[in-house]
Amino acid sequence: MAAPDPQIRGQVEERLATLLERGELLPGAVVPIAALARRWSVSETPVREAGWRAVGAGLLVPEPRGGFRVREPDIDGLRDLYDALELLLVSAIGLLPASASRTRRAATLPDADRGPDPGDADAASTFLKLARLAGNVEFVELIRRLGNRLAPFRRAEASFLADDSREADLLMDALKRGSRADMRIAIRRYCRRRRTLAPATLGLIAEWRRAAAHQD
Amino acid sequence: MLSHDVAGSPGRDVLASLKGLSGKSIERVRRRRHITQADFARAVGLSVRWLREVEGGNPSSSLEHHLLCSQQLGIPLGQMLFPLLYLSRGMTYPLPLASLDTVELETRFVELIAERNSRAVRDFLGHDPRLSGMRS
Repeated sequence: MAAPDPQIRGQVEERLATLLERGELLPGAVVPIAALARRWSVSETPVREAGWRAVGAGLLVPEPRGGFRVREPDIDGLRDLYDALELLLVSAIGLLPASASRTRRAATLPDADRGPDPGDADAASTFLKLARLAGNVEFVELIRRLGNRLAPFRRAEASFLADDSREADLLMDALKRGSRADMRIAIRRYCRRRRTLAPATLGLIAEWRRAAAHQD
Repeated sequence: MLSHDVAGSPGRDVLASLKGLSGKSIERVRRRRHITQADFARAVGLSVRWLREVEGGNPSSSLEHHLLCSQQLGIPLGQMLFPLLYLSRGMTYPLPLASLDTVELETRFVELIAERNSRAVRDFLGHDPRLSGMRS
């Protein structure tokens, strides 16, 4: 069988990643390969290929009898993701330019890739901004990967945290002022609250998944 | 001579050696700035007598006071941290470092820790060279 067109392959990957990010495919749900292939007017091959790539990225897990399931961390797994995020962000603060005024100037520049996103994507883009200011490509990539893994949980968390946009504002404000101490406080608080919420977050996602299964 | 044995034979008090190094450095910077002991003592909230103990590297002087004085004079923390690292490992601290600007070393130290942390997160997430295809 001929290998799928690289362009189609790229588009399918992008679409699958978007589905996962928006939480349309909830953690723990089976990936409906045939339905997705029909929806995107492609054969199942590129969908499966994109699935294997997402397995490599830690977003999906292969099913024993073929196909994929969206990776669903347990409570500790979700907390570990926030530990990793905090570790990276706090490390990134250490790499910021020594001069607070340079950080301030750079922080006020607009991001090209900041678009409308659901949940508290504002916090996610502020994290990316911090990584970029730290001038470390590796951090940008890892924070983006962590952001993808955490995306479905953010939506669930948003139903518990009424003030999550204010949290992002606090961090952005600290970044603009070039205050490392306030950045650290904002990041610690952000991650700590979500670690505490982990059982409720996973519970809500399980509820959503059951409701979605009923609809099908 | 490139190095000077400040650690001495094993068993000698590491903190006492550190206080000796730190006291000299505090006195040197204070004098260079033409600040009197009385003025400096007032600025850091110590008595002149205690400041003399700090600058003299008296083993009974408090490490907290050394840190306080260093911070007030803008002496990089590395000037205490790096000798402490050597001394606690029973190693000889190469003295020329003491007169060097340790800011660069501190920066590299921070970068090393960041690098180590990013490696840990990469291992945790699972390495996938093809990942650049996902939402890059």
